Amino acid sequence: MQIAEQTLNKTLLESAFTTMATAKTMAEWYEENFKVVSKYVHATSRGHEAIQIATAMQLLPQDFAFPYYRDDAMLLGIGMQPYDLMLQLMAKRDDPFSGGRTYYCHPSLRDADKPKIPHQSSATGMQAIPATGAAMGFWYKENVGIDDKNQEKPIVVCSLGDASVTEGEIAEAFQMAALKQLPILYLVQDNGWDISANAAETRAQNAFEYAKGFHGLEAVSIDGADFTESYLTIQKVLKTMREQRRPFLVHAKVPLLNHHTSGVRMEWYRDDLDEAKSRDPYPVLKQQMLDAGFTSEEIAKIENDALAKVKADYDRALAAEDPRPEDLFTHDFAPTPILEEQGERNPEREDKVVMVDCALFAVEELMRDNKDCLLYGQDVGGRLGGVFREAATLAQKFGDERVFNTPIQEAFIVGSTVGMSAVGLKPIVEVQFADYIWPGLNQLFTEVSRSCYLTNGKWPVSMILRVPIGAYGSGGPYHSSSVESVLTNIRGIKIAYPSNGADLKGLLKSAYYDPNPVVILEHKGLYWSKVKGTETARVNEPSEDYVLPFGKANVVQEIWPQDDAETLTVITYGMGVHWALNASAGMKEKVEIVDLRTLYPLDEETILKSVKKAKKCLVVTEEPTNNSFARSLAGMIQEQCFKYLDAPVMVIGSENLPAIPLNSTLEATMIPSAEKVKTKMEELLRY
Amino acid sequence: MPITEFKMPKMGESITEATIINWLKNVGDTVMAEETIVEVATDKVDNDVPAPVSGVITEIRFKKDDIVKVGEVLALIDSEGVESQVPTAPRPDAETSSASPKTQTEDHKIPNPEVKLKTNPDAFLSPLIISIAQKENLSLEEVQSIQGSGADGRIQKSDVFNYLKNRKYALPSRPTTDNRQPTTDFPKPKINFVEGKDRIVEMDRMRKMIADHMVYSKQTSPHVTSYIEVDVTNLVNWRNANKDAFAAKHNEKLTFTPIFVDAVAKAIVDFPMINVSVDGKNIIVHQDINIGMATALPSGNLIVPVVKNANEKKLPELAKTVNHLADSSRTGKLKPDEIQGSTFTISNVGTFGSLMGTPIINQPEVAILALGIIKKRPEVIETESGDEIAIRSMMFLSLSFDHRVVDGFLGGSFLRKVGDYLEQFDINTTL
Repeated sequence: MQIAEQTLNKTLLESAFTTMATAKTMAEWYEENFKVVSKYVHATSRGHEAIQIATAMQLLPQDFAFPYYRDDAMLLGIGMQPYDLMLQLMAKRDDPFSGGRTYYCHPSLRDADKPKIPHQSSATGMQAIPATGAAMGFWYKENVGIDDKNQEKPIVVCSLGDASVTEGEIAEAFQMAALKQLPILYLVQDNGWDISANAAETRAQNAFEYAKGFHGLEAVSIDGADFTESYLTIQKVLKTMREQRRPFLVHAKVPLLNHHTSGVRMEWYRDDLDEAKSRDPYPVLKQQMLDAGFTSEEIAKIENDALAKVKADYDRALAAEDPRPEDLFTHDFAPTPILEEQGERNPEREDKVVMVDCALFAVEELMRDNKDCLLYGQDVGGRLGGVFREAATLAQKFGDERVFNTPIQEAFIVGSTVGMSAVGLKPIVEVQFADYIWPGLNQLFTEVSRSCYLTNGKWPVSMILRVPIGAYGSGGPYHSSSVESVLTNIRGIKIAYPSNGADLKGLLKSAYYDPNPVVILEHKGLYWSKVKGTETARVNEPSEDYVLPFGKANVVQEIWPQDDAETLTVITYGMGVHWALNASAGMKEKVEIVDLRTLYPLDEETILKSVKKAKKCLVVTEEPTNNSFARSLAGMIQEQCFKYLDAPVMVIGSENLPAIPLNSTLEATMIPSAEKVKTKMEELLRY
Repeated sequence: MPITEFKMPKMGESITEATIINWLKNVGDTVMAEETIVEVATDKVDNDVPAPVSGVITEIRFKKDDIVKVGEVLALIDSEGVESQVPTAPRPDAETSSASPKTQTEDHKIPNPEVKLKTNPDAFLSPLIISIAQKENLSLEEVQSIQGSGADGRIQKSDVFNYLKNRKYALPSRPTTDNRQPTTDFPKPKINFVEGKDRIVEMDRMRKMIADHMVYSKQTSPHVTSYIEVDVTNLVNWRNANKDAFAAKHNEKLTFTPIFVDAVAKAIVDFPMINVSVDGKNIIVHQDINIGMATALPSGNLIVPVVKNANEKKLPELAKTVNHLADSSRTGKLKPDEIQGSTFTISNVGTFGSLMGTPIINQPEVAILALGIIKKRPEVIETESGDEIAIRSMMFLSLSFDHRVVDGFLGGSFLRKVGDYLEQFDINTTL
């Protein structure tokens, strides 16, 4: 690429040098005021400035950037002020990224005039999947024709340190970018270090070499400390990407001139400091300024102005207000418009519809009316339409670009929704079995659930994750597990666990309109009502406009208060509702049954009202009971209803063992049943 | 597999329940018939309960400190190969382990103020039951008197409401909110405890029961005490002269106690209204004359074994009974039946050198006799040749009685009668 021979115009160079001088001065100023600013951990770009500024200067407002924790020069390059960054450095209330919730240089931005920056977590390499999801969003919008045609085509920049490329999730991201030819630039800054572990210890090849294994991902390796070379390379790459819509990886070699972070000091372990200093990008750009005709005085003035600006901004930021205690409680979720049940839940129909088809029809209706809605996951594409036929015919009806298969990569399926949602789409994704949600949990926890909260409400993730769950018919240890306790321990997601087709349809519709992440747990044993006693999961399919808000439990069997008889209420969800209904046959007047429908938000009002009426309470779950959601719920009920209770709140669930065995006798022994629930009910009634 | 139900045995007519002190065997242990499996405690006595059959313990249904009704199944013993003495139960499971609630519900007694409350102070009351009781202004005692239909007889919500529905009268013991307030402002005196010097001894079970009994007795019965002095010279002489021969003949030690018991029993025959109990507005007159004898235990505690039908026993038999009861007390081998049913109690405070005492009535009796030390004193006696001073063996008797039902006339007459029997002891009494 002979671009190093080319030169850049003076205005551009002056702008770049001003930014670099500011970034360098900030790093030095933080060191000078170490005692004050090291209260909260931070890292600076010192040594990495050239490639960061070269990239930032060429991004457009329609582009999406995923800068990383060493990218403060990049943030200055897109137009942020030292004052903005310092507010985050000191975790101040007016920190424009997070309101003091997350660390220095963990930006999120939704300004009209700047590139968009979704939530940036601090987990190394984890931003690759959300970033690739955003690129897949551009790809989708262009494919279905809902992109903005009045502007240059947008691209995504995902900034990575070379040492994070060893993370497994990076491979999932590269795979999809190469496979779908997504407009994403992986900007890999390689300073040769993890924290104290160096390249020789941690990798067999650098990111440039690694990228060669992903066919269709073009890789370039450059000196990231040379501003002109960096600028011209990025210029060429971005032009190609905007025109040809394909992924690039730019591997930029840079020295690390400051500490890893404020907490890990370079003097403790660095053995290459002299060599690193010899590659400082600052004198390189200074020389390029002199070569372009700037005088030493002009350069010195830029430097002095930068220092004055940094000092002034620092004093201002120091004096800024801290967050108030009440600020803790905002923006865990964005407000949803669906607050009331609407539409016809139980219309006259010729035939009842099984639960899996209620979901299928809901998705079909949503996709028909909303082009922002798409469905992807393993085997949901046209050839099969889902292993449970839960997406049957959808690809045929809406096309392979709106309903498609993904490779076997649950982390990508879950985490890509962050980027998809950020570019304005409504992805419905699927993990094939709850047993396989584990590889996706990292993305769900690290990226999806915290996005809204840590961006102070700027970037809620609007997505639906469908998860077939539960044991039936000898599914065995890897197709039967229940996982709701793990999910309910993730704050920042909504969780539905419907027990019938009408609820599933209404909740799916409601989830579509909800700007927040929603996990829908769908019991496989209820999909076709094949399990004996689950016929009531089949319903008259609700009308197309039917929506069911989250957090509204359903009293599926109601009793009246009875002073002179023993009564109990069953609090349950999913398959538990059917066990309870069957178990209480013959004592319906004694047993109330509350179907939670959603585990978060939880309808505490309905639960407590029912317990206070019945005086005894049994919580039924399919999970092993120890440390479970159900056990925790029982604890909450006990706390709230102590004076109303005539017996301890009891819990029945599966046995506390590591897996649901394959053999049908063992399976039946492991999980609850109507008979077991009945025995427990009788025990509680005569307690 | 023959499964034997090992039940809480009957340990006496009035004993309805017992507390488990200690299991000597665990599930899985092999036991021999008659081997002790569990130690239980009733009102006053600890008891060893032996295995009814040989076999292996398959289930233990109650824990240490549980209170178990007589007749309830304590454990199951698999006596395979051994013929069972008790009817066998079906396979033990949750269904059969607790009585059917239905039959228990039918047992509901319509409460009636004439009927004495049978309360179970250890009955567990759920938060709800306590809430209802507060709302309905039911006393704890009244709630605890309700027959529970829940597992292990627990009082359930429906029991309380059914009780309320059937309750014809508010029970007299039913308190109003006002009289629940403390009636005195007197502050509990502060106890000076010197850390490192003073020490704390926790009361054992028996001590707690004695303490409660004493307080109850003092609060229940207005005590009055009368005293007389008795010349027991003849009695003492006779006993000293005959004790070796008595021992030789009956193989029993002859102490003063059987002689006292004999005198008391005779006096009770003369004054039967001393041998009574108070039940509300009724006086229950006991036909049997059962004399309790307060006995100090090596542990420092107190127990009252009973000489049953003392008026029907001759001196040798009384001596034998008294000796047996005294020995059993000291060695902790009293049977439950031997500490029950006393109708009158004597306390020999002279044993400790006391001249006299003001004893506290052993409820539900109405009188108790304390016997002081026998001491030689110069005494003016009347002889045919006029008054003389003689050396006589003298003792004080003091009778505490319940002034609700025993007045000074009755108490004094009875006490004098006891004294007469002792003073007029027939020195020709044969062995």
